[in-house]
Amino acid sequence: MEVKSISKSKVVAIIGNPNSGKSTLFNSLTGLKQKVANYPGVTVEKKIGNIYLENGNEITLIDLPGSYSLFPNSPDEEISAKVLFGLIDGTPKPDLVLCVIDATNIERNLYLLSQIIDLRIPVILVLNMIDIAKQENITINKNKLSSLLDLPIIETIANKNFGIDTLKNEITKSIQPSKSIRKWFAEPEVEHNTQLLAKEISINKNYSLDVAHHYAIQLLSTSTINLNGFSTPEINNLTVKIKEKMNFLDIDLSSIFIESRYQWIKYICNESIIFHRDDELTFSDKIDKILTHKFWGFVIFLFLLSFIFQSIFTWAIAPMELIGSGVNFLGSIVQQIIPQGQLQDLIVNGIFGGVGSVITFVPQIFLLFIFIGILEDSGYMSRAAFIMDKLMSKVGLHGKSFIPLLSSFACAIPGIMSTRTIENKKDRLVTMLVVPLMSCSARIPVYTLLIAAFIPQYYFLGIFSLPGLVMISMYLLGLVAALIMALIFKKTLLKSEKPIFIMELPPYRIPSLKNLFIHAWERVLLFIKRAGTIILGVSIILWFLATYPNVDEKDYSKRLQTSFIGIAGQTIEPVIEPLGFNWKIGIGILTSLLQREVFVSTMGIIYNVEDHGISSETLQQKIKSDINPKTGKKSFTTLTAICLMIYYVLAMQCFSTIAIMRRETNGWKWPAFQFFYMSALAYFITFITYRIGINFL
Amino acid sequence: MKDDEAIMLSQVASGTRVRIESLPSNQNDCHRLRELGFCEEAEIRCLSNGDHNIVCEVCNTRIVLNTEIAKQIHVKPLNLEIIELINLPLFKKAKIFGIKNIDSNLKLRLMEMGITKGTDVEILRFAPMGDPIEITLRGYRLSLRKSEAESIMVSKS
Ligand SMILES: Nc1nc2c(ncn2[C@@H]2O[C@H](COP(=O)(O)OP(=O)(O)OP(=O)(O)O)[C@@H](O)[C@H]2O)c(=O)[nH]1
Ligand SMILES: [Mg+2]
Repeated sequence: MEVKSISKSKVVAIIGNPNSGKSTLFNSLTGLKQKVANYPGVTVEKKIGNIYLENGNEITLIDLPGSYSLFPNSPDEEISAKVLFGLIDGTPKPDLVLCVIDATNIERNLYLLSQIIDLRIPVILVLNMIDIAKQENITINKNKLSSLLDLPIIETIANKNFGIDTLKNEITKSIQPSKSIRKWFAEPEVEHNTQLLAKEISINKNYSLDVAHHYAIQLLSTSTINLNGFSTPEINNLTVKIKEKMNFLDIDLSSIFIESRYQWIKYICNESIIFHRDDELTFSDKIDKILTHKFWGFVIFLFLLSFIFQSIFTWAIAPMELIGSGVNFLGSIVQQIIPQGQLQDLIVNGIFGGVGSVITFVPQIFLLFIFIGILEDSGYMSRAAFIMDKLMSKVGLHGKSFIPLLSSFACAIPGIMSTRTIENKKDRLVTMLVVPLMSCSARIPVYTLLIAAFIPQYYFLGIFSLPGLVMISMYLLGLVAALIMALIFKKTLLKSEKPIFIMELPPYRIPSLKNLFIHAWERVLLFIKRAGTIILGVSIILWFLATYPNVDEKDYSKRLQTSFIGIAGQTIEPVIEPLGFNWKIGIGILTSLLQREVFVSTMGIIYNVEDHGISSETLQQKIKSDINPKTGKKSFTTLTAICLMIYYVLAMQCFSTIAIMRRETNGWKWPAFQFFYMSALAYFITFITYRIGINFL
Repeated sequence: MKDDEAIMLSQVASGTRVRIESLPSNQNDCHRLRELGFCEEAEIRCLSNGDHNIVCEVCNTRIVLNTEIAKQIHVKPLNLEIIELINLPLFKKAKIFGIKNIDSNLKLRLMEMGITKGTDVEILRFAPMGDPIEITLRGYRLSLRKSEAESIMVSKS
C-alpha cells in the first residue's frame, strides 16, 4: 500500500468560487493555456495538467469549474463536488486542494472553503487578486487569518505570476493529513441531532464521519429526501424523525446551517480584515451607470454588436485580398514549376482552389476573436445577460442562457458546453437546441464570399455600408430564429416552470492585450489546422470526383458535367431547385455538412476545375459570371446569394456540433432532432424567401 | 440619538428585537459573548425573559444568559419595518430579515450566496426593462429577478 501511493504522482485540485482566478492560476502553474475570462462560468469541465516541483516530483493538477457550494446546483458545479469526493471514474481523489479565494470578496468565498475544511481534506488557501484588494484598500491580516483557519495561506496575483513559486513550495509541504477542523457550530440541539444522523450515514454507507456529516447537513437542509438513491431506509427514518422534532421546536433547518456558517465567517472577517471603504462610486459603478442604463444600455448593446459584425466585414477586406492574391501568386508559381499533368491539376485546382480559398478568411476569424475576447475579458458578458434577461424571460429562459448564445458567435461548441452553468435541465436542453442557430465563425467565409460578390458597396450615414448591414442582418436573423425556436420548444416539448435567476456581476477589468492576442491567435491556428487537415482531405477527394472518370475530355465544362460529382449533383438537383439553387450549390451544401467553410472550398474546386487552371479571376468573379447551361441565365443572382446565406444561417451544417450534442445529452435522440428541425427550418424559410423574392428581384 | 434610550437586556420584554449598544466591562465575559455573536451593533431577539435567565436569539442561535450578565449588556429597542426587498428604495441600506417559504432549493442557493439574516443589502439598479435588479451584499454584486427579490424580506431601521 505504502509503496504504491509513493510511486503514483500526487493529485492536487484547484477549487473555488466562479471567477476567482482558478484557471489563471492553473495556467501559471502548468504553463498550459486554458480559457480565462472575466465572467463566472468560463470553465465547465475538469482540466488536467502537470506541475514539476523543484525536488523533481511531478504533480497532477486538476482545474475545476467554479462553484459556490459543495451542494451542487448545476451540472458544472456537480463536476467539482464529484471530483472532490473522488466519485468520478478515472479521476483519483485529490490529495490536496488549492482553494482559490478572491481577496476582494473573502466573505462569500470562505463559505465554500469552510465546507472543504469540514471534509478534512488538506487545503492551501490561495488568496488571489491581492493587487485589486490593495487598490480597493482592503487590508488582510494574513497571519491572523491563517491561525484562525489553521491553514497555510499564499498570496498570489495569478495573472502576473506573483506568488507562484512560493505556492509550489507550499504544495510539497502541505500534502499531509489536514490539521484544520470544523469550527462553526449550530445550536446544541441541532448539532447533536446532526451528529446522530452523521453516525448513521457513516455506518450505513461506510463513509468517514466528516464526509457523513456533510451528507447529514444536505439531507437535513433540503426537502428532497432521497439524494439519487443515496439514502437507505435507516437513514431515511432518522432524517424524517429529526425533521419532525426540529419542526416542533420551531427550528428552521433549511437556514440554520448556512446561517451558523456565515456567522462564523463574519467573526473571522471581523478579526482579520479591515475595509477602508469610501462611499465613492467605484470604477465599475461608473461604467455600469451607462452600460446598464434603462435606455442607453440597450442602444449600446445593439450598437456594439452591429459595430463588431460590420467591422469584421469591412476592416478585413484589405488583408483578405492581400492573402487571396498571395495564394493566386503561389498557385501560378506552382503551375510553372510542376509539369503539366494530373499532379499539377490536383495541386493547382484541388489544393489551391480548396484550401487556398478558405485560408483567405484568416483576418476575419482573427478580428472576430479579438472582439469576442474583449467582450469576455472586460466583464461585459454578464451585463449583456443582465440587460437581456427580461427579453429572455419572455421566451421562458433566463439571462444566463444569453451567455452561451453570445459565445456561439465564435463557435457553437463552447456555446453548448457553457450551458452547463444552467441549473434547470430542460432549460439547458432548450438552450443547447437553439445555440447552433447563432452565426458562428465558420459561417463567415460563406457570408463574406456571397456578400462581396453580390451586395454593392453603398454607404449610409458614413459608417454603415450596405454589405455590412447585410452581414448584421444575417447575425440578427440567427438570433431571432434562436429566440423564436426557444419559445416554441418551451411551450411544447420542454415545458418547465419559470427558472430562477441568480447571477454574480464581476467588476469590469481592462482586458490584457497580450491575452487577447494569444487567444485569438490560437483560434486562428486552429482554423488553419482545420484547413490543412479536414479541408485538405476533402479537397483532394473532391478534386478527384470532379475530374474523373472522363479525364481526357478536352471541354472542361463538359468534363465536370460528366464527372462523378456532376452526376451526383444533377441527381440531387430536383431537391434544391425549389430554393433556386443549381447542382453546384447542392454539392457545396452536401460537402459542407462536415463544416460550413467547406462550402467555400468546394466552390473553389468546382470553378477551378471547370475553367481549368488559374485564371486571374477570383472565386467571387467566377461565381458571378457562371451561366446555367439549362436556362442560359446566370446561376447566381443577388436573390440566390441571399437565399443561400439564409440557408446557412439556419441549417445545421457542422459535424462537430452533432458530436458534442451527443456527448452532452448522452444519446443520439437530441442531436438527431436538432439536425432535422434545423434542416427543415432552413429549407422552409429559404423556400419562402425565394418564392417571394423572385417577384421582386 | 439620546443615550438614555439604552436599556439593560434584562429589562427587555420577550418578543422584542434590540440592538446591542455595549457589552460588560469584564474582558473575559466580553470576549466570550463576542464569540457567541453578541457583538456591538448586533441585532438580537429576546425570546423569553424569566426570573433567573433570559433566552435570546442571535443569528438563529438560541442562547441562554443569566440575568446577572444580561444586566451588564445595554441595548436599544429596534423599531423595525419589515418589507420585501423589492420595495426597498434604490441605494437605501437594509438588513436581511429572512427568506419567505419558497422552493427549498432556491432558498438554499440564495442563502449560500450570502443572503442570510442580518446581512446588509442595497439595491443598486434595475435592468433596462425593470427586471432583473442588481443588489450588493458582502462586498460583491448579485443580480436577481424581481420574483426572487419578492421572497426576500428586509428590515428597514
Ligand atoms: N488583477 C487580477 N486579475 C486576475 C487575477 N487572477 C485572475 N485574474 C483575472 O480574473 C478573471 C477570471 O479568471 P479565471 O482564471 O477565468 O477565473 P476562474 O476562477 O477560472 O473562473 P471560472 O472558470 O468561471 O470559475 C480573468 O479576467 C483573469 O485575467 C489576479 O491575481 N489579479
Ligand atoms: Mg476557470
